[in-house]
Amino acid sequence: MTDHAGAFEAAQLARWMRPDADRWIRPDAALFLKPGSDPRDVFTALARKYSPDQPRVPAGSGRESGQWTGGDASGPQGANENTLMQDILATASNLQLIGCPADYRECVKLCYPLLERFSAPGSDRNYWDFQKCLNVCLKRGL
Amino acid sequence: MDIDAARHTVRQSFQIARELQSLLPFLKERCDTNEYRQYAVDIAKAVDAVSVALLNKAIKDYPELKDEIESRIATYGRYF
Repeated sequence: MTDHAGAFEAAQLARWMRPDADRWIRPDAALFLKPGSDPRDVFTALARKYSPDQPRVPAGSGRESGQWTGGDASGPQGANENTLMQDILATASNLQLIGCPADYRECVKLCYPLLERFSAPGSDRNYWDFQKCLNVCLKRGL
Repeated sequence: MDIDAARHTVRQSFQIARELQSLLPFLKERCDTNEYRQYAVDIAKAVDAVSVALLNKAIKDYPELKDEIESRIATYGRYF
C-alpha cells in the first residue's frame, strides 16, 4: 500500500522549508546536541546550505561568474554578499596607504558595509570579515 | 596568557562586536542617512578598537586561533 501520509508530509516539508532555512538555526546549535554529533546530521537545512548542483553562471562570464542564477531564494543574496566581500578585499589590498589618520578613516569607510550585511542572529561572520578587511587594508600582517 | 584565556578573550571580543553591530539596524530605522552613516563609521571604529585591544593580540600570541575561528565560523556561524 502506498504511504500517502509520508508522501504528503514530504511534500509539505518541501513546500514550506525555506531554501535559506539554515539562517534560522541557532549558530550555537551544536551546544544542544549529544557531544560528537554533527549538527548537519540533525538539522538537514545545514546540509542543504551548499549544493554543487545549484545553477550558476559559467566561468568566463565576467564578474557574474560563479554566482547563482536562480532557483534558490538565498542564492543571489549570498552571492552578492560574497561578491561584496571580494570586491572590498581587492580594493583594500590595492590601497596605497602611508599610515596617517585619513587612511584609517578611508579603510573604515571601505570595510564597514561588511558589518551591515544581513546575518543570522548571533552570527560572527560579519565582524570576522570586517576585521579581515581592516587588517588587509591597514597592512596589519594578521 | 595561556591559550584558553586567549580563547575566552576572543569570545568576549566577538560578543562586544555583536552587541555593537546590533545597533546598526536599530539606528538605520531611526536616523536620517547622513546621521546613520556617521554612527555606522563610528561603530565600526569602536568594533576595530575592541579587535586591536583583544582579538588581534590573542591571534598574534596564538596564530593557530585564526584557523580555529575561521573554521568554527564557517561551520556554525559563530565562535564559541
